Amino acid sequence: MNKRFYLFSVSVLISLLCFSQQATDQQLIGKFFGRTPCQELARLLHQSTTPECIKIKWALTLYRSSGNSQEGTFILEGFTFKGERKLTGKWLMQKGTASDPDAEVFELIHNESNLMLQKIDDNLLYFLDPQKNLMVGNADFNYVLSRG
Amino acid sequence: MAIMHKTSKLPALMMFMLISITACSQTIEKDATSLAYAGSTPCDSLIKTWFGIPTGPVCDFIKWNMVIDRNHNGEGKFHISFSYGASRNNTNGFINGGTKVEFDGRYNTITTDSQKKILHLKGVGSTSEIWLKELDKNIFLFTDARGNFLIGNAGNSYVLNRVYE
Repeated sequence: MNKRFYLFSVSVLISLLCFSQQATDQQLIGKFFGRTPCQELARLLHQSTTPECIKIKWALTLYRSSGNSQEGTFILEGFTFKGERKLTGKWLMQKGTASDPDAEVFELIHNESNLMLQKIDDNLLYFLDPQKNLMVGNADFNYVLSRG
Repeated sequence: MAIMHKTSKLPALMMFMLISITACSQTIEKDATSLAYAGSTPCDSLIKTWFGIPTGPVCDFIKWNMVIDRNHNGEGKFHISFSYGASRNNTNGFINGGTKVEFDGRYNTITTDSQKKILHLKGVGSTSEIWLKELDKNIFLFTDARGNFLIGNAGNSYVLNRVYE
């Protein structure tokens, strides 16, 4: 009985240690939300859509790897990436856009096509096109994600 | 004779200077380009204060149109019209069309430490003023008077996008 209890306690302790290790490996940077025009990003992500699609609601969660501000992981929700199809993966910090050589850029690694978002400040992210230009929205929607 | 020669040149010199100044000023005017921008932003307390939007009625968002004369000296005229009100379900518009506001004014350009340009727009004959940070030729973000970006929400952000007629 004592031996079983001892083994159980040890396994619980190991699980807790593993869990806390995972938690410290990835530190939450923030959750960002916004509504962008639909067609351009659908094309960029190689997702089929209808002409009636005018906007996409996005929720992006960014984590940074412990002790490293240059890479981390992300969870992207919105458009066709919902429920079990949430887009998850790694991001790398890149430098420079078409208009600002010093800009910091989150490059979200994605099988079809990487997504790039310029870090405007700690609260705002801006979608870039493949040539690293700021994408241009319209009267109703834009390409900014704001910290929630 | 030498004096006669000098004085006879004076009117011609003045005429040349006048023509040069006129030509130069025409070049500046000619270089001014009217650019149009549009966007939909939140309607929070700061924006309401800036434009005297009453706090009582529902204001879900603001829809902006701005035409601005850009030129090399970083100053010029602008025209802004915006509408605000309660959003009409399943549309990008307002119930009953919303409330429309229009004003004209002048802007000057402030360059920040990061070499980014902030346009300070002031309405003529009104206290309305806004600050717009130029990210590139197509995009302006709203800032406060100290140059801090305004933070949007899940629905709208503080962005004006270049529109091409």
